[in-house]
Amino acid sequence: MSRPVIAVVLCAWCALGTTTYMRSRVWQSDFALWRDAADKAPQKPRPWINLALALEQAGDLDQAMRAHQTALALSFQPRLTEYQQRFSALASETNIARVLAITGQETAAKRMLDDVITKAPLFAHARWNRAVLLARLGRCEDGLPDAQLAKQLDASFQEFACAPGSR
Amino acid sequence: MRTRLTLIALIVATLVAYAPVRYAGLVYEDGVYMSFAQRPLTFEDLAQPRGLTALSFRVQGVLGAVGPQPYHAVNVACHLLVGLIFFGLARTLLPVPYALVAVGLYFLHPINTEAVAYIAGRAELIAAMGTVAAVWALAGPATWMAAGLAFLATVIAIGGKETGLMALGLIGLYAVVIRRVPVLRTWRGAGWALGGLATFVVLALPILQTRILGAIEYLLMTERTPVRYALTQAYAVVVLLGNALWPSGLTVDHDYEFLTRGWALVCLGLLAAGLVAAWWIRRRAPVVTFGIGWVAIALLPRFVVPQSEHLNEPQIVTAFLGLWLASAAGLMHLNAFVTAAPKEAVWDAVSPPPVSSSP
Repeated sequence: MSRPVIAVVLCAWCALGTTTYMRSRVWQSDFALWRDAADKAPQKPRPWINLALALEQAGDLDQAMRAHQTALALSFQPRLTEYQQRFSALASETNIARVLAITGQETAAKRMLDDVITKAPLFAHARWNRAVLLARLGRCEDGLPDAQLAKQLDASFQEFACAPGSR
Repeated sequence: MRTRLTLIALIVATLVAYAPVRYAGLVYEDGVYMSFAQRPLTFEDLAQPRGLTALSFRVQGVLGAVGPQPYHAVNVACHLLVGLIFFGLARTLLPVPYALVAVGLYFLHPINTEAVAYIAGRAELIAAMGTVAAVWALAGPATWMAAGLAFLATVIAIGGKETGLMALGLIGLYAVVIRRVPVLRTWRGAGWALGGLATFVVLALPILQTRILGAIEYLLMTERTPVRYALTQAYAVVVLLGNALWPSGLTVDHDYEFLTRGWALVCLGLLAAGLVAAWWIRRRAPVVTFGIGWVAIALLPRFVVPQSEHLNEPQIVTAFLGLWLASAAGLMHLNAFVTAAPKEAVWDAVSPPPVSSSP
């Protein structure tokens, strides 16, 4: 191998290693990962959905709401498959309802979740969130069927139980 | 000695490049995949594709791994192990300095970051490990022992991920391009080919059942027509090849669906032309042909079995091992071409025939 080729290979390895280091830092947290993804694929709903969830985790509910709304707006592009459109829209609406509920707008949240469940009765996340919302509103018993169905559809949900004395 | 030192330097450089994962948490769907660590595995978990990946998580869970760091560490270790096995294969195909170039590209290229830094990416690393080991096992003399080892490595590859099945296709490619086995011209060659095909079918059937026919989610989520899917997939491959060359657009979620049908056809045409060119140079540059063929065969299932998503970075680790081989071999040919002594025109000196001393 000639010296110029060795020099080129060493330079390439250094450049690649440095880029890998920078990419590894992106993979340190959900926020960094999905911020980067939303920057690079701004027309795709999934990065925005996940960025919004990361923002919610960080407690930045205003930005999270904006990102959820962006994801919802992007869900209706005909270039996406029917499944992708449907899932993105349902997920975004459910997430918006959850943020509304957290920020004290329970009535609007309940209306949105009712709407999602009417459109997709077997969407487990909407069922679960409605059960949690009803429990917060002091109507835990009303939410039990939703919680049970959600658990049936997706075993990863935790057990849902109403405290004694709650309605 | 110099080889060993270079390998050690590459390993150290890889550890430095992946140092930030020491502080990485669980991201995206890591938690879902790591759920295997928290519960005993059933026979069904182990017997299906990715069973070995699930087992690796479970073993770590049983050994008391707490938090994401031990899982990240094992992923980095898997990456290094794949690289070392890959070096074993590459040095049977290339002079050692170029084998090191191929391994350096694998170790340090950022396109592999997702498979290494994402705990769920371990499936692809185990598949790559089994695939490379399967081809390497048959790179020496073709004995029953070697065939058994190759079979075992293929099972490991499938245990990592279902696409590990393509290890058998790569063994076939090695036989045709590198060994130049006359597969259809001798009984022995035909026997090996038939044996390989039968093994492929036997291993493919359970995968077909568990991943496609028996998976209701698969049928619900996959709705593109096969042609449209393959065209978009061709574009995805071109985008990822572009990122291999100039890794500036790496992301966890590439947006491929913006392309027009005409542009997708151009991409498919480019890939087809690349394959034809690779086949055309197979006598002069067999390792380049083998590397490009490796990429094509490893990605083949992604073109013929539609998925809900198109190709993303963690799914090309095994396939792009062929690209690193082809790149190193291409560099070798380029170096030989550039450093060859120029052929100058020389005078032809006519010497008289020797004078016979005999009477």
